[in-house]
Amino acid sequence: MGKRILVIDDEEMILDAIKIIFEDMGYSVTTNADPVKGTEDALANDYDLVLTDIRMPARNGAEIVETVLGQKPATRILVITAYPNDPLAERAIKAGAVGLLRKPFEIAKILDFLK
Amino acid sequence: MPPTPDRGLENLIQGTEELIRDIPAAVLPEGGTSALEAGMDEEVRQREARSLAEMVEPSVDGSVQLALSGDKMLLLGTFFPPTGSGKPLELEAVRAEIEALGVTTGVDWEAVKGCIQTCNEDRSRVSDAILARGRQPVTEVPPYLVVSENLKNQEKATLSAARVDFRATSPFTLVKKGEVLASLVPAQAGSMGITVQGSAVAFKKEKVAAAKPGKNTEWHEGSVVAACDGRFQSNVAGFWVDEVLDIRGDIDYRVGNVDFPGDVVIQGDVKDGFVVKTGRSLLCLGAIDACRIDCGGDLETRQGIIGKEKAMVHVAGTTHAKFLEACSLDSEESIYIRTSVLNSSIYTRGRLVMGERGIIIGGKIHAQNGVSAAQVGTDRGPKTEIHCGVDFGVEQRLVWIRDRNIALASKMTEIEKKMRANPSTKPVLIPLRDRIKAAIHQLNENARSLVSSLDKNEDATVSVAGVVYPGTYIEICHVSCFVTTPRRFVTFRLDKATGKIVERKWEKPAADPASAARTSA
Repeated sequence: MGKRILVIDDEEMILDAIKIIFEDMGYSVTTNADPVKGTEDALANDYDLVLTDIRMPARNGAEIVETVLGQKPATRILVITAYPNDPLAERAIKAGAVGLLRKPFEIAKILDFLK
Repeated sequence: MPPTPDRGLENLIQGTEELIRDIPAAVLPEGGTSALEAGMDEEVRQREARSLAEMVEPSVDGSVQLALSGDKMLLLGTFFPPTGSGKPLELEAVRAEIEALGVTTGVDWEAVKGCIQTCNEDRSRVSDAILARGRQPVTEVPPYLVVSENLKNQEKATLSAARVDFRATSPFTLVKKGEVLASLVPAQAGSMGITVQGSAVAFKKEKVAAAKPGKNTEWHEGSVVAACDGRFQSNVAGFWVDEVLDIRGDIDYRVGNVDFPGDVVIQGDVKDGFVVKTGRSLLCLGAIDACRIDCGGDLETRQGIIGKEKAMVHVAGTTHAKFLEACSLDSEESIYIRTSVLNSSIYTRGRLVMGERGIIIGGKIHAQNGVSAAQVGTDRGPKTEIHCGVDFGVEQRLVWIRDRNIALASKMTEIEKKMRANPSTKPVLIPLRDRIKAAIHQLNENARSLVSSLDKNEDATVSVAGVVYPGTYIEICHVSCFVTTPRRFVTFRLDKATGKIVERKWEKPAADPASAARTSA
């Protein structure tokens, strides 16, 4: 079984693309378009890497990082953002996210953190 | 006493007058035939006819007048036909005339005979016929070079064209290594001449103002070829190839776009909208405006690049400039900027090295080996992103793969939705889906291969001798860091043990001394 990735993003297209591409690479990809359910999933399961969009309705990426790392500090989270200088992205990094992914995502960075 | 009259004479005159007076009355009756004329015999009539003809056209024998040209190379003859009962012209007579003139060489006897025949039979005059030719001497010519025609008149596009993009025209004649510049015209041996009178004529030796091959030219199979790529130049003394294109002014409509295989020196500015491509280095003494530069070597601009968000600059070597503003610059090797980098996108596989007071404000910096600056960001200005440690070229290829993969994945999702909605389409759509899967797999293999070969520099640093302002984003080997409070005299580096970016006291980065000297100059 390959390493497990959880992707939380309200854009279905991004979710589908990441799932197809990284499953082809041998990873197990779980997607969740609902940030609240996605947070619950991240807390309930052990993932090798969590990718979360930064700006979503109901719950933003910074809150997800704070919530998840508050309870499971070993989780490695990458935040997906259109602008690295987004204050929420800055907040997520401050909260312990390991890095930023420029939208829609960066293959090299994801593979780097799955090593 | 009166003189004695000559009675005999008086009688003769009187008697003659009477005879004349009496003739009409005696022999010419009105309307009748002259008895006198009727009485004449045939012989008398013929004699009278001859006599009358001679009064109109006298009898003259045919003749020839000969003349030699000034250089004695031609014998000219004018033939006069016989008239009246004159004798026709004879070949022997003409021969005698020719010999009398001393003409011994090159006589065209057929021409002589033709003239005689025309003259006698047609009774017409033949003027200035060439009867003999001498042989002109042949001038001796040494071997000499002739510059290729296509290199002589390369000029700007003519106005005859309906539309001329003068940016795309060039007054420079560019040649490739091995291109034929001039061909050798072989020597011509001289030979003696001879006049129609048999005298020898000496030949001349011609002096040819031949083009002489100069620098960066070489002989190859009887031709002179370019020894390197460059600009063909010539003057009255010779021709040569310049490896350096020296443009004594701006790159504007006067000069047009430049595409030169060697080094280029621009004494002025590169104006908006022009394109400069060089095979080797480019030195611009002025500023580079919103234009495209593709430099095959090092780029140095004594001023800076004022890109107006349009300038695209690619450099295969290092880049030196006073400042960069609103431009996109990728440089294979390090970039050295003396004063400022403002709102620009910078990519280098080396290091971005700013001058002692050099500041970076706004924009995105991708520098594989890191950044040295006096200041990054401002307290209120645009945010600055600095990405270090990874090869931007590989990242750009991965972005391309990602975009293709997203498009393919989107198609695959669509196909699967269609198959779920209408299972009868499966026989058609399954093979298509499988092909898409295979394509995605192929792209992923390429991406993995690129990532595994990604040349990362985990020792890349961001060293700032002055202040780093809040809002600055720093990423080293994909690890992110935000500067949230002003940091002074600091170096950011990747802590390999924790996988986090840490701050250390400012360390002077090791730099190429020559380049550092130029940057701080």
